[in-house]
Amino acid sequence: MNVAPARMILPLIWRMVHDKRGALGVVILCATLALALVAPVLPLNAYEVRLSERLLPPSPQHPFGTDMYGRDLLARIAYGARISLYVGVLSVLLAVLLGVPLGAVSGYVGGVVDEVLMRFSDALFSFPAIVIALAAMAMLGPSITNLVLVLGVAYSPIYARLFRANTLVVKESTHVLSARAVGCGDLRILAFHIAPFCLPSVLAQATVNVASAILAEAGLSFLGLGVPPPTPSWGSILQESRSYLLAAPWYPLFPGLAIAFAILGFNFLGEVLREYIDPRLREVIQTWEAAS
Amino acid sequence: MVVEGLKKYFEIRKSFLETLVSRKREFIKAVDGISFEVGKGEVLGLVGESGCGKTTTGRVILRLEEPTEGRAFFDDIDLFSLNGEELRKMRRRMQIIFQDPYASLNPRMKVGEIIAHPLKIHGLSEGREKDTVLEFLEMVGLTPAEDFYNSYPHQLSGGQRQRVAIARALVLHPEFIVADEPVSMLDVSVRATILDLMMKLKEKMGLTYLFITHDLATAKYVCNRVAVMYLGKIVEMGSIDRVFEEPLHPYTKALLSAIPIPDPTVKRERLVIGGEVPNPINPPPGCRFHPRCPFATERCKQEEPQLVEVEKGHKVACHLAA
Repeated sequence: MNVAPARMILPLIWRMVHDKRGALGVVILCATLALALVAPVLPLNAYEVRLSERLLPPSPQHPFGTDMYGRDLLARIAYGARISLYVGVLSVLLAVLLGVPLGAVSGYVGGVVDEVLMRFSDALFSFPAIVIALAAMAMLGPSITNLVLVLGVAYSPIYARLFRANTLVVKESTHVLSARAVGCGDLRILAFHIAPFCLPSVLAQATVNVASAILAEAGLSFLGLGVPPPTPSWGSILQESRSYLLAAPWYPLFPGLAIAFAILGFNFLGEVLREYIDPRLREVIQTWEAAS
Repeated sequence: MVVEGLKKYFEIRKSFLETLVSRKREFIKAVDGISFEVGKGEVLGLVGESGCGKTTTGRVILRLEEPTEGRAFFDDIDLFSLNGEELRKMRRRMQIIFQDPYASLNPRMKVGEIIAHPLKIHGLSEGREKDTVLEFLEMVGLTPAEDFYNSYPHQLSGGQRQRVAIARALVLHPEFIVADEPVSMLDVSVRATILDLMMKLKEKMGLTYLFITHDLATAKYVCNRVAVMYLGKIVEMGSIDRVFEEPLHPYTKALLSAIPIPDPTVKRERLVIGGEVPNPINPPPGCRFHPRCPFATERCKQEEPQLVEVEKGHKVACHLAA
């Protein structure tokens, strides 16, 4: 019962390479990933306090300069990439794992179950995720695990609603009816006849969502509610640089750029994925481009 | 298969505000009290225009929709009282072929998997599912079977897909098949071959068909008996020969006169009915056909005609014919 892999993936790769945004997204993400991977082997000082070297401007020894404790900014941003990717990917994964089953049950079973689950998700949805995260982090205290848990829960309604909406459409289709006619049970119907049609849009949404999770991590760390020091995070580096904006303008510049690029990369990728998955949107874009 | 007084109403979903304003619940009376029998080995045609309830009838009998009222028996088993495991076992004996072969096959599964799926669900021919599937692929004329086994539905033509759907329906060795307009979405050129295949398999496997169609020519080609439906009711039922030779209900007459005759020299009186099918939420009082019937009398507007036997095996629900 394997999903046709070649039929979905080969055209997708083709599209990724031929779409400028897709290609750029892949390049940026690969660069971020590479940065995160090489962080421990960089011959640079990421943790040690060397006051004699504090606030040095970019130079061959310190390509991005140094921070207020004399630590190399490139090394710290590389370590920050690990945190960002870790928090971004894991929290979205958690959100998907929580949201998809809820959405599936809600959409498939319907009735009172659907009503209760959806009102619950509405309640969670009515606050911006960052506000929930802010409150929860203030209560739980700053740590990477808490960050992943809190963001995962805060983002889960997105997937519950998305999967529910898709399930509602797919469950009415004739192939589901014919599966029921041969005596297929509910779980099997969900797994083999509904989920394969709903998951691609979840994937597209998740890619874009990783970008917001990275931004949320940076924001919370900036406010001191995210990753506790001395672990470097893009958000906390930005926060530390606040007092040196004029004295050392490169100090906030590089972590800021890192955040911007990573988000851009995930957004590009997610957008291309979404257009690929949603043929209606593809048509709309084509007509729009033809008209303009 | 015996069906008695079957009704299926669909409730019209109203918005929250509307339910506050009026408590009255409204229903679409898709099937409104029909009774019929299909003898073993018989092909009963269920004929009518779109929206008359014929598809709903087929689906309710197979418990793909829950009935509102009425009873159905297969082999003296009360179909509407079955639950869980009993129902699942019953599904082995009763299968359906859907109208649209483009929608009824899961596009993410290979043809082989689609046909093996029912076997796996019911734990049949374990270990040698593939042989069984290949056997059935050959039986429905998809050769070389090995090639079709590994293809996806989107690689097949409409006729080939419908053959796959037939193989999937038959792989469990059912006794009763609901064929819901199995050829109406296909090219005219392949319709006859699919119908011939279905008839050949009927003989071979001893099947009974409830054959749903809006096309009287198709019905005449395959059915032993025919039941004509209009707005959720059966208006005429009888052997295919009698109904075609001597239609008693004005609606049947109108339908028959709409079949094109391949011989241009034959002149025929056309009975054309005007208007649209009325709204099934509030069907007209009396005879449901009276607003469109050219022969309607005062009685037709008030009194609903019952389905009565006018000659052996030929029933009609019309005040004028009875």
